[in-house]
Amino acid sequence: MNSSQPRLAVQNIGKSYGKVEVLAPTSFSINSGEILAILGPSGCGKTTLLSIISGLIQPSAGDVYLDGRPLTGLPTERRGIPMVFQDHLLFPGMSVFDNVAFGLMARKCNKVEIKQRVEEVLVAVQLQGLEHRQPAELSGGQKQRVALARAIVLRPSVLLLDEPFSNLDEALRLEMRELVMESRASFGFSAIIVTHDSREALAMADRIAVMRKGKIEQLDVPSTIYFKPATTFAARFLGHSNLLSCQHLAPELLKNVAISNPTQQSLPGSQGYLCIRPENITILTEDQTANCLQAVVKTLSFSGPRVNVCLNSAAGIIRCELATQNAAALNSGQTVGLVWDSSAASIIHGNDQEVS
Amino acid sequence: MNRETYGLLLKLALVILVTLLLLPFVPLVIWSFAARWAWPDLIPSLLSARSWSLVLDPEGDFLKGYLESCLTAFGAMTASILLIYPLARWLTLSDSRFKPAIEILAFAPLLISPYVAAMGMHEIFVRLQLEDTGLSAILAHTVVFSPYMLRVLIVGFLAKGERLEQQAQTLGGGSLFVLWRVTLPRMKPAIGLGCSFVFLASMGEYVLTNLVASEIITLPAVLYPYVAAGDRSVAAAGSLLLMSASIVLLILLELLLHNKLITRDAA
Amino acid sequence: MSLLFWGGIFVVFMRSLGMTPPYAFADATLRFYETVSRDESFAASFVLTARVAAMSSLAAGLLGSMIALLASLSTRSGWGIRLVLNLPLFTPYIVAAQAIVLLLSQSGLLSRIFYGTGILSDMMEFPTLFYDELGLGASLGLAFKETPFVALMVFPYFLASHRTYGSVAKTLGVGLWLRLVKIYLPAAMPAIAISVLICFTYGFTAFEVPRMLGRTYPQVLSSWSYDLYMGSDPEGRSLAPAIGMVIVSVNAISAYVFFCIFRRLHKRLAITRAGSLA
Repeated sequence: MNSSQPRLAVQNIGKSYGKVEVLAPTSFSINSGEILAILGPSGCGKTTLLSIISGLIQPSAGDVYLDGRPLTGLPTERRGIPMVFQDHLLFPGMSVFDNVAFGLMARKCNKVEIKQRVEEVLVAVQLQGLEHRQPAELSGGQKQRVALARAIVLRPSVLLLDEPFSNLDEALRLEMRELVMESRASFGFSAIIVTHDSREALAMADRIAVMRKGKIEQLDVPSTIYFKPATTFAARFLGHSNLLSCQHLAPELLKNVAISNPTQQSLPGSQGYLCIRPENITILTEDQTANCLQAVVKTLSFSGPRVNVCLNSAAGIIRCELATQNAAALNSGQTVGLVWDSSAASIIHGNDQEVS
Repeated sequence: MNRETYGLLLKLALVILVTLLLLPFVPLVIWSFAARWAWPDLIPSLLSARSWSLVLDPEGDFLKGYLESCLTAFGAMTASILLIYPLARWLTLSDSRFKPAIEILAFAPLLISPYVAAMGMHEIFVRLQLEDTGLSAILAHTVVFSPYMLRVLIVGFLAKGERLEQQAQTLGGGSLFVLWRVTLPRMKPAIGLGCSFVFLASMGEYVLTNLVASEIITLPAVLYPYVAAGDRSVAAAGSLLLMSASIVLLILLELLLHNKLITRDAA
Repeated sequence: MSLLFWGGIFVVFMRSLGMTPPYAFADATLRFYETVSRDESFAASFVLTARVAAMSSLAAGLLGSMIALLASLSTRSGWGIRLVLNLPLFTPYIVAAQAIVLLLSQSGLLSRIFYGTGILSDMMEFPTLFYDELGLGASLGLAFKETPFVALMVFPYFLASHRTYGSVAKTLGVGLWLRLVKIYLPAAMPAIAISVLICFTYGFTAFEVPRMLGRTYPQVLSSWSYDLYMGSDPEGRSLAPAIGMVIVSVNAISAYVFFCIFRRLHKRLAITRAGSLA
């Protein structure tokens, strides 16, 4: 195999139902051992994309390649790309062992090999000893572990995960994320995980594709997605970034700020937005210089170690986050000045509709 | 075998099987227009509208029977919905320990011979001096076919849940208001389905009416002698007349439901 | 309302014991049951009824399940199929019997088509399906009505398991045959069993179809009972309720089995619902 060849490549995959386009022609590829997160709100077409890769849905156009081989026309069961669904979907009436062994049975492995591989993978997902339980006798987290084990026991080169942990509570979700990362290390699969949880995407993925209305808006490594979102939508979706209309900001505030999507040829100050995260804004109660943004404190809300401050400014509503001890001097109604480090901010081109 | 041929084969098998089920209606339609159709001709050698003019004769027995059937079916349908609606509601809400017993009693007509019950009901009607009246026919049909309504309504109530009614009550809706503005609109598909079940089953019933009210000549009773005597053309035309009600009702139902309810209901 | 139904059954029961209102236990007698059971046409009639019910319900179970399975595998929602199936389902028995005769009798459309295509050279070569001793014709007529019923009852189970567990199994590389045996059939089995049982009950109590498509001797139980009840012979009239109670007893046994399976089905359904994809 050519080392530069991607493990899985998606080329111009699109899907329409009648006149409704749910997925615009999309291309990307993932490398061996890589985890790609597809992040977007519900209904953005991310599950459709995953279903097309798995073969459960036929694309209207385009091709999927696994190790350079086209998968078009191949039924799902012959693709060798297992998928873990949002609901555990453990086969009723089959024990944990039978569930995990089911895919191996279909491959006509011999009994000894099946037993050995199932036991190995059950250890990996920390379910040893529960082989003979029925699905109804397992907790939610255990069920999803079985679902995961059922997929990775096949030693797939690519694993698909469709919102796999969204039915679990916060603590279990963290545990499951780690489990997937660990299994990737020991079993060496690539994975595509579909999620609407930006924290999940940031924590697990090597790269993230932000999807909206059937289109990938940005595909990059998590740190870039997080700090330099390419679109106002990506910025919003990755946590309450402040998007301030450049028209209302003094030129000094925009100086030295990098432009995220310089391909678009329009000048800052007309249709640009300054993107700055709440924790990167400093509030000045005294010594207000000309180079700061005047704002009025609206509300203060306490959340343990941090205080969230909401302010009104000429450029719109701004949210800041600061350490609790630094917020003691603030009162609502107070006029303050805001400044930020230009390296923590970026400018995004976009129009008003995308912001709201 | 690739994906397309495989899918095509499945579709083909499905179409063949379903066509087999629809095939019997073909000779029925042809016969209704046939005056002479000897074996082994594939099409009648003589066509005529004789059967249809006999069946559709405004003074004839067929249309009278049709009216009689429709009245009985309508009566049974109305009685079922009025009686079954409160029962279905109670059965979905109540935790009473008599509930399983009442369920079994109420569903029994689905599983126990209506013919035998009709024999006994006839004697009861005689005692009540109701025998051979339209009322006794309606009562018998209601008794035998209302479990369809019960089943559909219970499934409907269970599928819809109680939350919206509770919400309406917390907002100050009186019980009649909630029934009229919240519950009934949501139960419309289930009620429609249940009504059609009862209506259609009642339209086609022969022996039940014959036992409890032999004076009430419904369409199946008019039709029966022609079928038994082997007058194929008239029997076919009469059969199609009897089916016309089902077809109209099915189309109405489909319009009402917009394909929303059937999957859930059948489950 | 069901009081009237049960009242009817009660009256027939009392009658079968030879009692008329006001009921007095002194009059109770098993004489009619004895007469009926001694009658040689009883055994023939009972066997015929059971055979018609069994043949029709099993055929309907098989065909209906196949239609439901194929529909769940090859259509998006099965909407069109369900609509089409409603037609034979809602066809009155009397019409169904008439239609199936016009299609499948020796002089029916099928036999004409066979002659036209040269498969048959004479009408008599077409098998006699109706008015036969075995009750084949009656079974065909009933199966025609029952098949769409089974298909509609079973379809949601096949569809749900195909959409959910079937998808998972596909991505795990499991082929159609193994999915069918291990996933689809177990998911639909209780529903299939229940539908077949309901069809058996219908077949056992059926009146019009076996009467129109069967012989005059032996007759199915309900038809025989009806003839006695409507007949002029007072001794015969008094036998009809006893035969009726035989039918009801068989119904009661099927009903018991029905409720046993029904309880299991509900459990299964709860799991399927919880597991279904949003």
